[in-house]
Amino acid sequence: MSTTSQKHRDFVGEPMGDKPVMALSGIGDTLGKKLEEQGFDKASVVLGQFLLLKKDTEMFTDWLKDATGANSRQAGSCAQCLKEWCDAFL
Amino acid sequence: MASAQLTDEELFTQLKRLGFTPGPVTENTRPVYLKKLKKLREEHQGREKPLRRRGRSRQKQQRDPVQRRAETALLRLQQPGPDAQGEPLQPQPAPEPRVQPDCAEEEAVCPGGRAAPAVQEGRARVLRQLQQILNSSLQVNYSCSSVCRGQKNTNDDSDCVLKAQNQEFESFTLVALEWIIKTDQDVGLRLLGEDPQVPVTDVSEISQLESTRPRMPLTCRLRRAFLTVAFFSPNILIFFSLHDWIKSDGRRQEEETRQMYDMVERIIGETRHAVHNQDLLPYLPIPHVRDSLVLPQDRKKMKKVWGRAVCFLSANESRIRTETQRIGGADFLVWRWIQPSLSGDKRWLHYLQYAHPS
Repeated sequence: MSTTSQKHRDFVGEPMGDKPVMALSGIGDTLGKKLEEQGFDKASVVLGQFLLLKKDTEMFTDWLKDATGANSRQAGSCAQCLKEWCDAFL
Repeated sequence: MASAQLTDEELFTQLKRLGFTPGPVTENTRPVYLKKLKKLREEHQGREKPLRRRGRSRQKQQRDPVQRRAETALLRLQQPGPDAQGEPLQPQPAPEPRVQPDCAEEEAVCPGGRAAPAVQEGRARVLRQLQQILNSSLQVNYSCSSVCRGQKNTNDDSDCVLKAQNQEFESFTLVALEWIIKTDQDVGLRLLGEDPQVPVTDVSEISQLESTRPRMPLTCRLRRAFLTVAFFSPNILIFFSLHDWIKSDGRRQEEETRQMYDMVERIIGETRHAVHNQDLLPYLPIPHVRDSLVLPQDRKKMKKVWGRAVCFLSANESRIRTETQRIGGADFLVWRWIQPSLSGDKRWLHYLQYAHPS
């Protein structure tokens, strides 16, 4: 496995609670703003989308790329982050 | 079917039909699922093309009917076991008559090489089984000669055997043979025409089948292995002994040379001493030098070394001269040390004169 960033570790380490969408690994300011515009203002809403896609990282990556114009690395990182969170807490 | 007109439910059912279980199709997930549907449709098209016969009713899961039929036939072939030795048995009833018409069409469309890779895989598997059966049936006619090849079985014979076992097999055999001709891989069967050297290009030319991987009894295998080793090992032994001999020879040579130089040095030392010793003659008879340098028990051993040392001295040593002198009435070859001592002796002048009598 590739090394994880601090952001990733911070997110996956505890229940997400009310964290903003920018707390997700791979989501910076630009992408975060785009997501908020579409209504995904909290990380939990993005989690909702991930769960709707049945926790399929590939589909989620595709969706994120379509919805925000993220590149493969960012989308993949976000998907991985959410997957691990689910494995830990769901 | 234009994707824009699909409702959420229709998209959902389409995806499910292609074997994918989607989550709920909502406003957000719709575009992703549309893409997925497109991708799945393309994959599906690619896989189904060569087998398309009746269109949509044929599911992707159904395998190549030729292969399926052949596999069931082969399974039944293997069951009788020791009976599969060339005697025609009562023909087994054909169990799948409804597949028969398909079969004829299939072969017309897909002879040997043009089948899709998946079909080829299946056929390869079946062929392997076929070959195993052939091997076991060929085992009887097998002779453990020096070449040890499986006895050739004429095509008709094997055809008869297989046909007797199962009537459906006939057409499959032809297809299989065509495929063997077209394929480049080694399937374990070699097809031989009338002339064994010429490669076969058409099914009709085949008169014999030969197995490239015969199943030999254990004794034959052991015997072959033993023979191979027996023919091989003398060569290996010879090679190794040659190698050893060369090495030891080299070592011996080195040793002798070392001894020779050692001897030469000692001779030089002795001869030099003789000069400085006033009461003895200034030269030394060669045999006397030898006897004083070499112990009696070594004399025979060192004969060769001594000889070489003497030659070396006469050729390469300028400070010692070999001459003949009469000592006590007998003629001896002697060595005289002729290097002038640096103290400016008068004797040096004398030697000079001696060296250049003019």
